[in-house]
Amino acid sequence: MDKTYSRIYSVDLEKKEIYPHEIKSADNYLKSLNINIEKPTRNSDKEIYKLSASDKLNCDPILCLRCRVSMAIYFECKEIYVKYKKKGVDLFDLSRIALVDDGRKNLRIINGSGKIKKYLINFSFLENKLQNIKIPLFLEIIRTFDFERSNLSTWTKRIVKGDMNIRNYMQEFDIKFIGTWARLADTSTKRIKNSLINYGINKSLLDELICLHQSYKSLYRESKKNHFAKYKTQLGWEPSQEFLKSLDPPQENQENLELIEKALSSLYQPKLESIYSEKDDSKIQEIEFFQSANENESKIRSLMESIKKSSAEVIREILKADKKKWNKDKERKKCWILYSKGMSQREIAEKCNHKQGWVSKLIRENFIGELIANEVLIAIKNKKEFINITKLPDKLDYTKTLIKNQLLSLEQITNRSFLMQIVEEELNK
Amino acid sequence: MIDNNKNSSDYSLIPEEAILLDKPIKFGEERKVVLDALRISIKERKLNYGIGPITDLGNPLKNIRINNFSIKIITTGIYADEVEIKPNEIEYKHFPPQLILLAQIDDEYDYVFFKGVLTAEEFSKLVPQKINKDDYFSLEVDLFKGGINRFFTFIQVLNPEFIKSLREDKKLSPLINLRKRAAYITAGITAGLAILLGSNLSPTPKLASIQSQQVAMFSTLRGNQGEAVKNICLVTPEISYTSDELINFSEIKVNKPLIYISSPSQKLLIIKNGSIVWESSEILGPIRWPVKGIQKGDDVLLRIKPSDTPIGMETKIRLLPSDESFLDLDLIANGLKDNQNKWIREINKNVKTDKVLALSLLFSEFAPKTNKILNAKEQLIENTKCK
Repeated sequence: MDKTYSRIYSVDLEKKEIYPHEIKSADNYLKSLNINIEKPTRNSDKEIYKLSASDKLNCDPILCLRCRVSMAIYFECKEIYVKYKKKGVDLFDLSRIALVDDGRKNLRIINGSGKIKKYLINFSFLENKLQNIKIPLFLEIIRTFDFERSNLSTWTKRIVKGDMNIRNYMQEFDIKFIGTWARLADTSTKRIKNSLINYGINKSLLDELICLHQSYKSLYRESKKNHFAKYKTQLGWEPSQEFLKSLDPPQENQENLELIEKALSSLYQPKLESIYSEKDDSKIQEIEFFQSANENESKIRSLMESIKKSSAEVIREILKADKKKWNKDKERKKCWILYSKGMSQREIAEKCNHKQGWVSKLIRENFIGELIANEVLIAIKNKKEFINITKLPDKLDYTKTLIKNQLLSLEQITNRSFLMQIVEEELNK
Repeated sequence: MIDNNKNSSDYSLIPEEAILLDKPIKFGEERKVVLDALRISIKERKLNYGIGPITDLGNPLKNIRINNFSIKIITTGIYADEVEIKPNEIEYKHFPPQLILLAQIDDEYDYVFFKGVLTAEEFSKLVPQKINKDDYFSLEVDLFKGGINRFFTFIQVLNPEFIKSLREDKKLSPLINLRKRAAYITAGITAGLAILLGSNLSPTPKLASIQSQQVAMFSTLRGNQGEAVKNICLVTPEISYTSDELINFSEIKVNKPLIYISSPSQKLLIIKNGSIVWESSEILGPIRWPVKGIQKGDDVLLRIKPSDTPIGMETKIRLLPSDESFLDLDLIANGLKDNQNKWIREINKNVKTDKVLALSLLFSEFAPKTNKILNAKEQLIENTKCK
């Protein structure tokens, strides 16, 4: 028998691990009703939810749902971890924020006078949500669950996405949840059509789904406006029953919209990569060739002098500002030194006992490259040989690429960039 | 149907260049948040640019102006692959756009990501040849290149005089029309660089970045209003933008700003709260603020008339005390006493972020009369002469 409804995923703070453990009362409850679930589905979610609603004081059916929710949360955490561990995401750190259910039947709440008060977790408790008390994530998922709109696993994903603690943790690593509904509203019909075809949707359904998407797009903004007017936040908008029924064709639930979203994610991941990744290698090679074969020597010399001067000035200013914090945090200095030696952000993070995100925020290499490149361009723009950069955007783009390439590319022998060398020089002054 | 679930993901990275806002984005305030994001970027880069025009800035159809460029802002959602544009929503009157900047907004994570910028020339090639003014056309967001960095490089380095602007008939205007051209201050024309050398043991004024701006003169005569014939060279105050009414605006952070016109002028009038409080003829070179210090709330207008242009030509500059910080020059000078090194350090500290304050200090009557300071003044005057 599947254990989805009778096994809970909890965090062991001492051992620093996540462990699934059987909940006997949940298991016994299912057995007592002869419920044998092979695989969790929307129907099984609905069935157990209905049982809990009809037996409001019984903790066991809610406990079964809590097990189901804990697994969904754990898988969500694991997925995030697998995808972003290189960015420093830690499965345990994330899980201790998200997996807070220990399987007990009581919820302990510290009241205003500091005393712990216990509440039995049953359907009645969720219905009469206590005033001014924020219930934990796992209960919020069950409390808001609407089996008419989706299964409990999808519902869990949605609520996890909106949880501020998890969002804040992920934002430390510059990771965000993709807003399903915002994404559907932003995407063009052309792209939706391509993804549906690629997903294997047949012609008759294809037309219906395209029509549905267009109708969704046209109604989304107005509905979001109403949501904002009511809740004073843009977060948490979900298509309501009323909204679903107003679509063309009217929808009973979110299934078709979810299908469009699945098709879309399978073909297109949001292209929100850094603009620094727009680097065009062929262009850079072309510049190098140009530089060595055709470029006027004095022009190169003039450019190199400006790069060196501007780099030193910009780095000096940055280090001067950062030095003020070195007394409080010695790792900052170490971080700059390691950078000047040619280490990658990941290596620096390991040596400094910090997360990679901390290093990338301290040494904003690309941004520094930008500042220097602009300083160089301003310094040379009135020189006769560079006058075109003030008139022709193409020439300006080209010269800037050349400067940034000179600054940030790693030299083959030393495995260090020009920028790293300048940082070393300025640190040694 | 194929199961592609394994390839899909519910997460993505927030781009490195995303500009995070301090407050949650309110519904319908897209224009405001884009302007806020631009202000954050300007501050982060320590640039001394204002965003104009002063009136109707919140109107999403209005082009904005930064450092004498006219810019059309287009906004879309963060996940958009295409952006829809209606020709009727582009402002062609007065200052048609030279740059088109695409901002993508994430209203759930409260950030703005500037996808990129197109020049009017690049943009015009993408507009369909035949399109009604009220019809939308789509452009792929990936056509906008270079993000916020390309934008800032453009406005810092390109000369707006050479960047064509978009016209209603989809042709490009090189801004040769004097009225239009003159409405811009042709910033970035370096009259000279003053690099002052000295001993390495004590600081020296670093004024290499000081440039003069060329500011357009407008005809005030009936029938020729708005026509411009000539520019004057102005070192301080710095012009942030020019209004539709052809008045230049300068945000000042000090109560006694240095007035430094480096081209010969016939007359300078200072008008405070509607009354002429100072008037001088044949001025050339730096002038210390000659009257009582400006106070917040004062309406101060400078009118400059050049000596070598026809009657009826003038430049108007309105000085706006900054909301962020507004310093008393005498108090700063008093704090620096006679310590040359302190003066030089204070000047150098401000030279990039607040040129007006730096030069007001350099030419202050209280500045030590040492060789370094005197040489710095002399060389600056020499090198910022209008050529």
